[in-house]
Amino acid sequence: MATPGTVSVPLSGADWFLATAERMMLAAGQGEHMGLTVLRLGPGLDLAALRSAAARLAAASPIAAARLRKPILGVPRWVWRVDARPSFPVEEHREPLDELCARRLNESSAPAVRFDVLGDGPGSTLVMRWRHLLLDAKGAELFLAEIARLADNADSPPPRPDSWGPIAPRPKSFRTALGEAERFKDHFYALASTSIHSLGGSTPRPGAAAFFVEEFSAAETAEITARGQTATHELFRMGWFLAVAMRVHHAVLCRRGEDAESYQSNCPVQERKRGARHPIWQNHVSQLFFRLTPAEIAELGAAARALQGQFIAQTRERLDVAFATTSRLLRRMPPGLYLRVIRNGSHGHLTSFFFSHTGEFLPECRTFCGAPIAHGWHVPSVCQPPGTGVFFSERDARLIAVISWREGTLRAGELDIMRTRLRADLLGPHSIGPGR
Amino acid sequence: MEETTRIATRLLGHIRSDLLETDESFGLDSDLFAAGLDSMSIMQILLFIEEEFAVKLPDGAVTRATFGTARHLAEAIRRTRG
Repeated sequence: MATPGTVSVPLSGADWFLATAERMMLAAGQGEHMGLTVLRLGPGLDLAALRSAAARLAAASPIAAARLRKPILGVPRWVWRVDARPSFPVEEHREPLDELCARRLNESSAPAVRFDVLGDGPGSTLVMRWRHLLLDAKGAELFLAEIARLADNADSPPPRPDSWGPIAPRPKSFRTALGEAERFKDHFYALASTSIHSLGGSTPRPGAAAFFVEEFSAAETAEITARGQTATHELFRMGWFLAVAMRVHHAVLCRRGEDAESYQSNCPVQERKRGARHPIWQNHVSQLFFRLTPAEIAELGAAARALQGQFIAQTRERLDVAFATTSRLLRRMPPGLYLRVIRNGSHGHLTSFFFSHTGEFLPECRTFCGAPIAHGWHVPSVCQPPGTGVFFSERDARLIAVISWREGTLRAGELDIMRTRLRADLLGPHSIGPGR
Repeated sequence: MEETTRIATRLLGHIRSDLLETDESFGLDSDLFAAGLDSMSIMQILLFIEEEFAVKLPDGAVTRATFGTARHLAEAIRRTRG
């Protein structure tokens, strides 16, 4: 598909799912699928160094220039001109952080990545806005780490062109790929045997992206960790956090009198090697899929242990590999048909809600462009359906939980129900109180 | 001790080729968690141990201390083998 003067790479399976979901969002009036990454910085941010590093990375990166091209039944590809000279804008503002984040999260169109800096007393706050089609949350962290590296090393070259390519290994043969897809299909349809609800309902509607950031202190995080370890293995904490997210949604649906037959969600699994600097663009995640019934959710510890068991069983069966292979095969499917397949298999909702725990936030960096990093987190937006998500990360042993939703999804008082259940499950019923 | 080192070297080769991006100085006593080890990669190591060494680590051995370094993991494998 590449023509003279252009370069192209295939979309990853996750890219094509996101492109399909974004098509649904655009048709419904929800806008493009954006994510934010926030860095709270101490004093000393060198804006000139940030601008220089952003310009050098923009010159080498396909992110700012890539356009999606898909033959009707072919594999979709990112295509960009080698002589494109895109940029990643850096702007300074004076406005509340939440207002800036809400504005950037709901803006569509270019640029695919941009930076906003807020002066904040002796320090500053940096907000990186990124288009989810082109970058996942770990990629956003690697992007920031690369900016930091380039800012610290003015003579250092940006990443080589060949480090931008896809990383997922191809299955050994088409027959092997079909076998993997068959294994995933069995799992997917087993999940579909019970119905689900989402807070936003199954019919896509217009609605702006909204969010709430719940910060936990180091002492609270230590308590959360200790509580989690009484329920699940110290090395497999994902089940604990997913159980909390399920119970947060269960609390709202129960208040509505609409409890679901089951609660299902998926957990992203990184395909990049841990500790790798690259690749810094595209979505490199597979998924594991989880389900609990309301009876299994009733007690947090039991729910967490059940999800831990599902995690161990699925990783033993390498269902993450099976899903990754399946999603690569599905890239040939036209987006409308792909969306119909996913929605038919999920009772119209895609999932009960979105979830992730991205682990330690930006472990690669202690400083950013001359300023110490005091804290940081991601603010993902979500599509509707399902209309909500709960996302966790940690920085320096301090947990962040972000509740994300589409306006029109939550009714009056429901955010408070979610926050109350979240804090009560994480910290215990004695410690319910407003966070940020 | 020689067997532990042999097992640890084999483990480290797998970890470096498939799971963690590390530099040349990363060795048998390097901190796996500091290099990015997470729950998914722990599960993949457990599966590798079962396939490569025909050993299933007992639940009590699956701890943060055991997974701290390739050498600690190798010692756990050697003890489990008996």
